[in-house]
Amino acid sequence: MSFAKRFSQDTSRKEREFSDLELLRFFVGFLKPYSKLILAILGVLIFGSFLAILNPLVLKIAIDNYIIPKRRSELWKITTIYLLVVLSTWITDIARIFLISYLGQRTVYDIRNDTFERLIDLSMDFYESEESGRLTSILTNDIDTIADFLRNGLTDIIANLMRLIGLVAIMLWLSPGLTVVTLLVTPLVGIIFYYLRKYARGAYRSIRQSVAKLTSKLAETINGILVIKVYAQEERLKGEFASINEENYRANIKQNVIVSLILPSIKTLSSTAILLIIAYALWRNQIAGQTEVSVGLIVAFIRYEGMLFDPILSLTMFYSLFQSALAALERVKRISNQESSVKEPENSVIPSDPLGEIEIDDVWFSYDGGKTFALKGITLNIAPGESVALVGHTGAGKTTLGKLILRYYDPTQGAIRLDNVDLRKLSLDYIGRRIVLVPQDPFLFNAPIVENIRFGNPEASIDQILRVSKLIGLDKVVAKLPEGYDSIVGPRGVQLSQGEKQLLSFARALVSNPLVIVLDEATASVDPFTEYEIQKATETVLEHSTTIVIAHRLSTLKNVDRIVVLENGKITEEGTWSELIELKGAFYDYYRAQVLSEMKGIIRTSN
Amino acid sequence: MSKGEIYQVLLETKRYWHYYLLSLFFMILSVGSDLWIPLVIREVIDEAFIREDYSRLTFSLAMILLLAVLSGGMNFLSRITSEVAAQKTVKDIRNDVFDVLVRQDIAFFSSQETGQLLTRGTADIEAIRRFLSMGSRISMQGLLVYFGLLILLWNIDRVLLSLVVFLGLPLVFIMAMFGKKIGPLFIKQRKLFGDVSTVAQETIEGITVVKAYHGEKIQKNIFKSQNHRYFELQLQIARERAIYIPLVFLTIGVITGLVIYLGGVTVINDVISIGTFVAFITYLVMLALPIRFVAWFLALYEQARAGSARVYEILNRKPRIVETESVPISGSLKGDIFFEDVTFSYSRSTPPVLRNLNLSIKGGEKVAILGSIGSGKTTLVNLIPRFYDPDKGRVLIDGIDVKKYRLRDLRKKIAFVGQDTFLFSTSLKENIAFAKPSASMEEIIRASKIAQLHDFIETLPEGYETLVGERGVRLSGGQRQRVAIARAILADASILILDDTTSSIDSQTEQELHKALAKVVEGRTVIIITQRLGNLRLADRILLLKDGQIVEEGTHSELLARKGLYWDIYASRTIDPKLAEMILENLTQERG
Repeated sequence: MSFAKRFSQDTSRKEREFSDLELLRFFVGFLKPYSKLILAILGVLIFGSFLAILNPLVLKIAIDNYIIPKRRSELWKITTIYLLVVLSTWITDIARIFLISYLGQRTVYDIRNDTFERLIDLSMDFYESEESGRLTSILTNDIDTIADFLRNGLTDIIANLMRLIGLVAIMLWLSPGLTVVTLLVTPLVGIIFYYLRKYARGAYRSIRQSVAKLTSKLAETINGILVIKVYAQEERLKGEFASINEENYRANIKQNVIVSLILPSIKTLSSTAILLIIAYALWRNQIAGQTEVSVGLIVAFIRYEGMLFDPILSLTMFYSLFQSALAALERVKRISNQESSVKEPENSVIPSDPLGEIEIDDVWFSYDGGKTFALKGITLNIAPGESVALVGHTGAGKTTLGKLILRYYDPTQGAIRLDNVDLRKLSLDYIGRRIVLVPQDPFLFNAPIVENIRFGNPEASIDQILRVSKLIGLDKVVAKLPEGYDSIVGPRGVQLSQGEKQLLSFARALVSNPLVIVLDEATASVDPFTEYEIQKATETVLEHSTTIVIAHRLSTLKNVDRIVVLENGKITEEGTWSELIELKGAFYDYYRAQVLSEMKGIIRTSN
Repeated sequence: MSKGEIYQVLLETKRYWHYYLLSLFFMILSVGSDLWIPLVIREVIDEAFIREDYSRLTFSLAMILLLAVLSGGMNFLSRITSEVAAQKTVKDIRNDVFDVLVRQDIAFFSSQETGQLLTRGTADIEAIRRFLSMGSRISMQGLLVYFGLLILLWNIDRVLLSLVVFLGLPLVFIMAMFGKKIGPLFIKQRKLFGDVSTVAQETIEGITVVKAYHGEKIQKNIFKSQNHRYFELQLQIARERAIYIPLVFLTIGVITGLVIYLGGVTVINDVISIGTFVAFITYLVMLALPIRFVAWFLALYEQARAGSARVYEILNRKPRIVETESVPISGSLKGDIFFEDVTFSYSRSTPPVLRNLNLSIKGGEKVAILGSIGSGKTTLVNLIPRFYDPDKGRVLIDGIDVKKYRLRDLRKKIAFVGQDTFLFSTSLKENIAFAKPSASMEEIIRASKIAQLHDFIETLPEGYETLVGERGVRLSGGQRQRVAIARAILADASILILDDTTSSIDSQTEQELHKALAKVVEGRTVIIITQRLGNLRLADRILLLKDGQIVEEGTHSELLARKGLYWDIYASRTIDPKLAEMILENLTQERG
């Protein structure tokens, strides 16, 4: 099999969106602001290589011109020169280490900030299709891989290549014959590498796979620990984990056998090269009948020969670093290139008179690009301060309509207007601040309760927070916590029950002073009494806010101004509670079924 | 303090001591050959070059070749053996971590970040492995080269010997200083990196909230400042490295300079030969290599130290829930549950969530628990499968304190469906059969039918083989809850606990679910926590919890008659009285 064919087989990664060149260009883009620094680093690297090459040369001169001719009184001169070289090396070393680290860290800092900012600005539909763990890993691990490549892979290879050129040049200048002899073993090194690499690549791949399996097994066990304990499946999982662990162990050993061959074989070849140098030198001297190759020259060549293998070693390191960096860059670039499907308008309008009027004008919406429609021509006007409930079966389009009002998506056809301005003409900032969602599954930050509430409105005063908490009964929950409002709720709020989380999420919404609020099953896990209290609180605190309620428990909707029934993406009924009950249509049927269910529950316990 | 944990790691290696010993043996042979080569070169230079005596030349050259091969071969064997030892040790540690982890109590998991725990099982253990394999090799090699040199020089030249001895002193000092400076920085580095990733993770997981309140700017600023702190620390580390590592080379360089001068003088005075001088210079170059790795070794050591501290924090933690008598359960339980004067609080500083609670549930009885937020409903049921133990009082099942049962047996007899329905990213089939991996397809389908899940699964192109999550379908909240219920049905337990598990299921599906479920739970004890009166259909008796105590209990009509809390919270608020009366009448007539 030809070299080229093998090579191309191995690099043809599937599902590639960008070519290597595009990825490198993307990467270089981040380096651009630091071109002066890069020039300085190149200067330091060149000077450092020069010094490294100079060092054995000075030694050669010391041996051949001072020690062997026994010029004792002048020996200090060459010693001083040697020490000067050492001191210069010291200073360039300091500069090199610091400057390279600075460039690497700075670039990575930029890439990380940039990626985070782009990521967080993406619209919600992106998040609905991505796994959060994977995104986090791009921001942390992938970007670290890029840093590693910059710090170790790239600069090492540049430094070593420069040194390689210098080395060959000076060796040729000193003795072309010895140079050829020294370089004789390098093709051997190349061949060894080529074959080892072939095996190593496969081994690396199986390690990566087993590590990925190990990690996901562990992650799943931690996340699903309750289920595992509930069904006492610990032993089974231990067995599964142990077998993946064993697999990982075998892959590692296999890879290590291959990798462990590299350094020892280089060492052996390097010592063999010394042998060749000496043999050649003696042969030349014998032919010439005089000292053509001096002792100093041999010493210098032995040193140069040792330095020759550094670039080869770093080349092997470079390859794997480069491949992982490309993969990481690809994921980072994918985020950077991601277009938000919801775009910021070029000239945003700020409504002169914010009242909270919502106008839904013949809205059609399709998730799959027009094959099927989740909303089919919805027209609905909601007056400022009005409360409207959206009712219907799962899949009727309630949640979709809610998402469109929040501008997670734009309508496929038609328009939604807030105070007579199309949502697409309002700034995202304005929509974000004025239209607020209270979701069924609330997210809490691992921060104190008060901070979590304040997330709704950073300017909320303590008084306001206390008042709202008291209104909805959150104060009773907080009283039970060790540090009251300063208690930290744990990752994702694990220290609280679902109902408590919903309560807190409600408090957050109440302090945010929204123009429009969307309640999506916001109290599903709350008891009826608390729900009643929340309703009362909402009515007083959000008296002027337009409210859109999505609810399963229909009995909670008695006090809303209007109920809209959605069926299959269309509005089928509309009216007040009593109007719809009297109509005896779909809403009446839903409600009757629900009450019936509840009554059956009651009947059963009555006997 | 943290030295202790790395000591524990070293203890762990004891099991594989013969590997390490073997590795050391190979290393000695390898380093010995290495050190021998310059001696041969010395002979060649002195005899062939200077004296032009070629009698031993062929032998010497053959010797170099032999030593080169020997050195490489032995080096390879040494690497392999130390790597095998390290890999074996780490495999053991990783299995132990997993074992100890799954034995921990629920309280432990709710106090930990998933990401942090994950790091301990992966990156931290990896740091230990690197230290054990590379760290041990680097340190062995460095020490061997250094002491080998001392022995050789003893026979060559005492002045040069003393130079090498003194070379060691400043190097040891520099390295010790470096280690002292960089150690704490490495620990801080880990922490700050963790902070960066926590902000990222929280923002992404909570993106709905971030977007809903337009918190992008706040999060960006938090991320930027964490990222900046991490950057600053990295610079600090770079600064230390830039100070100390070049110092090492400077020391070696200065000593080499001294050797050139002093050695040159001794050669000129004919005290030592030029060959010896060359050999000596070669040794200094050889010594530079392991010294170059010292900085690397220190990094490995510090990372392993930090890593092992975190790993052993898990390994050394005793689970709070332990078996006392390990009474086995064979067959099924009757299902009598008895709470005897139970008091419980989540921590010492918080008021109790349950206070002197007494409760008796008969085997096969169906009980519904109602109560407002924070009244202790979930806590109460958490005590039955021993996710927590009460502070005071006892929980008895079939007359025996739950603490006395074998934990595995106890939990296998209780099916518990919590509020948070977790699904594994495997197929739907495997998720349903989680408690009973040996379940037949018929059993799985039966359970899915009861949970009102079968029809939905049938609509999926890959049916029961459909993968959940990441690469498979995303299920809605209600669908997830139904998978969890199917899982519980298949577990075939004596006690079934449903903690608000139908909150996301619409009422029509819920009704069907109840109908089907009622048949399955015949003869089993069922405890159901709910906010919906529809769920009461499954219950014989209603318990009303308030502030950690049972305040009302009885059937619906008994409770209604009392006109107490139940009437106030539930009956009066949820049901339209007019409609209720009408329907009730209908139903009674039907029954009559």
